[in-house]
Amino acid sequence: MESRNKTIFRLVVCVLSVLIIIVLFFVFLLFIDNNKLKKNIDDLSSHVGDGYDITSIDNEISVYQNIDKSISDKYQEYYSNIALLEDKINSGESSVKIAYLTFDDGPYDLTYQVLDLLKANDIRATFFVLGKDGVEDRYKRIVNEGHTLANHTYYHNIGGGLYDSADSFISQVKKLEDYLYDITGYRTSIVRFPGGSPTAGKYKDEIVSRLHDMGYNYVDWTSETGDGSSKKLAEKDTWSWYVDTTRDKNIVVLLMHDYNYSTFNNLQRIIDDMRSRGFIFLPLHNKSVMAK
Amino acid sequence: MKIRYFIVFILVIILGLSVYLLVDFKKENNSLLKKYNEINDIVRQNEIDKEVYASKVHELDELKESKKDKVLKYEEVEKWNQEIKQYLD
Repeated sequence: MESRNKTIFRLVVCVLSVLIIIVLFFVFLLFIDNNKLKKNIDDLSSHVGDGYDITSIDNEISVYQNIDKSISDKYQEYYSNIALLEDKINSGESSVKIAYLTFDDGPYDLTYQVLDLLKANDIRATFFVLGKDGVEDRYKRIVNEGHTLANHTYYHNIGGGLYDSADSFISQVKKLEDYLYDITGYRTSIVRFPGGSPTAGKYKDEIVSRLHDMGYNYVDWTSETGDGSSKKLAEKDTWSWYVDTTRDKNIVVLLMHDYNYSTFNNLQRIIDDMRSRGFIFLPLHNKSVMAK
Repeated sequence: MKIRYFIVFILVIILGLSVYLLVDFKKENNSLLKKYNEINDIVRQNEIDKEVYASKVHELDELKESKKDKVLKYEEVEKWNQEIKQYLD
């Protein structure tokens, strides 16, 4: 009996020992494998990096593939932001002041010098132009340098039929719009009535309504250098017109003419003075609070 | 007799612990394998992305070069836009 028990005991010990050895062998294999995996993971992790932002570069390519639309969209964003700034100024949330420098009746030879001066000051302005032959490069330069090319009717014939009817006015706006589009590829969207909107008299409401239907808004002015009344106005007079009419205003639409040397000779002084009073200079657009 | 039971008992305990270790290591092994495969996929994808990205950068450079003037205009308007935004913040 004792001998049988001994044999069973030995057999059990033997089986258990073999099982333990087999299990420990697999444990050892797994231990080796796990350590190898950990090392491989560490090696691979160092190669992961930040990845490549394919979506972002695809978006950038799309912007440049449709560059004309992208520029137009960027302009619209710019104008919307200007409109937001105007709202902040009017609600008293911003202490910045805006000056819209506007030049009527051009382009003239002097327009080049005006453009040079604006460029030297890194300023965008607004040119309410007429239809003129042989000055295509001036229209193009206005657009290319980021100024707003705006509609001032084709002929500006205040006493010669412009305000005889709404049709007469609208046809001149359309004629100038098409003419400028052919030259610059840019469609005007703001207009200034020659002589100001009250000059349209009884046709004003009908004209404004039809302008709105065409996607236009009109802009008068809040301030001026008085140079439209006389080409021979002295520099001290255009300066005092400027000072008197811009006083206590946060958003200024300054009417000037780019044929008038009296205004031009004061222009740098006007820019410096406005800057010292906290004004920034922006181009007009039809989302502006000043465009009705 | 008692000592024999004790030895068998100890061997069973050792076997139990060994099985426990085996199961634990196997679990760890599965988890490490999963992680390794994931990272490996990322690295492989990165290699593919690297080539795609390089070709797209080249395409973008060529595009910018071919429309140089308009690109400058776009960047200029963007600059003005940023100038305005600083007054809105």
